[in-house]
Amino acid sequence: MYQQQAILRQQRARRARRNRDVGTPGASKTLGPVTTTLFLVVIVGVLSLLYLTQVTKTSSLDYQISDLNQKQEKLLQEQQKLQVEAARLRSVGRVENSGVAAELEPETNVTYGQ
Amino acid sequence: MDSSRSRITTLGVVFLLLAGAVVVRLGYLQILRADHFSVLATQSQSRKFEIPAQRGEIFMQDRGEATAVAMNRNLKTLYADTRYIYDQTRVVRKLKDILGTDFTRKLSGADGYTLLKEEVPYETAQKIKQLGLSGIGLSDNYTRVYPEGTLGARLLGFVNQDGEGQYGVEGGLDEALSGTTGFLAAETDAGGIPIPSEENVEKQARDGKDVVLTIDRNIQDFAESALKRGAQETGARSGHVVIMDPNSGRVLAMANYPTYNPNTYQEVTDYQRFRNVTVSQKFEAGSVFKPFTMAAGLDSGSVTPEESYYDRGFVQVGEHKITNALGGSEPRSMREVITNSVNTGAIYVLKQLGEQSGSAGISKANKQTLHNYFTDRFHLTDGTGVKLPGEPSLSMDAPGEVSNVNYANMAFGQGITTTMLRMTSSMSAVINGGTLYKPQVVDFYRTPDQEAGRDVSTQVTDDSVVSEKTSQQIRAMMETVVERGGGFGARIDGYRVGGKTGTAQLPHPDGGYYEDKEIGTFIGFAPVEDPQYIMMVRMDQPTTPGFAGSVAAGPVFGDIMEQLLRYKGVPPAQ
Repeated sequence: MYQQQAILRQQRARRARRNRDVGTPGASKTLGPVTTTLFLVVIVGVLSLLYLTQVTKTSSLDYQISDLNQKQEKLLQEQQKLQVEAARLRSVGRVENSGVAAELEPETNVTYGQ
Repeated sequence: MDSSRSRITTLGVVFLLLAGAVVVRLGYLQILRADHFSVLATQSQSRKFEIPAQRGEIFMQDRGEATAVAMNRNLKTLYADTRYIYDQTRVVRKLKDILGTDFTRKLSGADGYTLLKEEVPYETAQKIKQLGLSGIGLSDNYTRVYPEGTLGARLLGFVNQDGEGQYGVEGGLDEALSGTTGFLAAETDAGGIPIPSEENVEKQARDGKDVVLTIDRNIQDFAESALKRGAQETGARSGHVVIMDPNSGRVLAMANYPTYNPNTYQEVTDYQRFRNVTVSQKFEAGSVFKPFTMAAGLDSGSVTPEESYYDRGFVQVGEHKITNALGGSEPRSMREVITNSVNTGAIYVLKQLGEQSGSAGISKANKQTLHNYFTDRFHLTDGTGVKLPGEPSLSMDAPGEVSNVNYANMAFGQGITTTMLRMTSSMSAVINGGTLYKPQVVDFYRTPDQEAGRDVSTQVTDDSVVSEKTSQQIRAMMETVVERGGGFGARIDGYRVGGKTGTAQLPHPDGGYYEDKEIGTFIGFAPVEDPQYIMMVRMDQPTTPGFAGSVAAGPVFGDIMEQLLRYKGVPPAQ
């Protein structure tokens, strides 16, 4: 009987060793310094990457906007230049002095229909 | 051991004291003097940029469409801010490569902002911009362009180098055309370029309004061409025309000769060349006033067209003897007074006005009635209210202020001054049945954010100037001037034209008049049966023999009116 009890105690102890928690029961769980440092570096790195991505994208868009603004300005300039040129070509003085006008004759006899 | 420990302690105390001094200094600069250095930094880093507003354009009518006669070109202005130029030699070299100009002297003498070059074309500006020179910038500079050249120059005016409208429409409507300048207050980088930021303060510029005139481009050209021809043929020193729709007050043309090119206004040496004489110069118009005197007589019932008097060729007024230009010794009807421009006839009408009609002399009632008609009915002393600068104030001496001979002279247009626009507007009311319209040069305004412009409506100043009957009688009388009188130069085949000539001696600056210098005028309308257009022509100091109104002004009127009637497709009389 005592032999059986001893065997049972040994088995119980073996099971307890297999299932037992490491460390002192009731003590707080902490990360080691290396792990903490690594963790922080990774977090900072990820955030930095996110920030850089945003900044780069914004800069890229700013560049596109600036480029489009320049194109718009150039087109507006061109439009203005063409409008002025068109007005000059249509001006009364230019038409009167044109080759076409030179070949026209003033009317001499006007007849009005009923 | 003790000595080394004490040396370390001493060293530590010294370093502590030094560190303390640095901390105290930093505290002084960053806490106690924080505001001062913050302001300095702001002044250094922040700048206010002006955002120019685009000036509104001006348009004339052309067969129902608006045609631009004053436009803008955006040419850049090159400037330097020497606070941000760190390598002047390089900057000067780079700019010289592109512009061919050495800016060394300008930059050396400058402190801060300095203008380098105006009207830089866009392509050149882009090349400069690409250089990315620190302290060198380009701002927008809207330059005015007049694509029609000299057409309507004295009506339009011009814009000077400061962007201010001068004379004409540009000057009179400068506020509406200018718009409102905006600004941008922003932090700048080391090159003085604004940095986009939410803290920047920006006020958008508001562009000026476009102005569409009532002036017809083609009619304006008819008038200017005819004036030039007329002046050259008659030797006149200058000529002026105003054309109006008598049924609305819309001004269709305002022409002046000689003229100038507003694109090169800087080359004009005589500033009088800039004035629009049709609006801004008052003068004695002479016999063109006679229809007004006659209208007063007819409208007041004092005379009738068939009524006659005996014309002795002169009238004695006190010590003064007033004569006709062509003598006379015969009975004359009122109709003939206008046809043959008889001075004594005008005085006869004056004597019939008012209560004491038929008296030998000129009574106070005669003068008062004429004064009332000229001022209250015909509005000959009122400003027209036209939106153009330089309109002078007009006046007529009250009956009690001057002698009878002055009023006798005023009855036929001497001793009383007017402007061409005032005269034309008032005469419109006499010939259109009695409605006086405010002269209108602006048809409507247009802002960039509005599709439809704001109309400038026709305004009636007075709707009972004369009766319809008086209007018909005056039209008939004025038709005889063209058919049988001195207005022969205004005849147009197929059309009924009415008008009145005027030949006035040019006033001498020292008093009195020149013997040999005259101003010839002609005011007329067509068709007589339903007046569509009224025009006044003035020719200064023509040398052609004859009465200036008949030989110089009348033919110019005929030339323009014939083209105008054909252009507008007005059918001839049956």
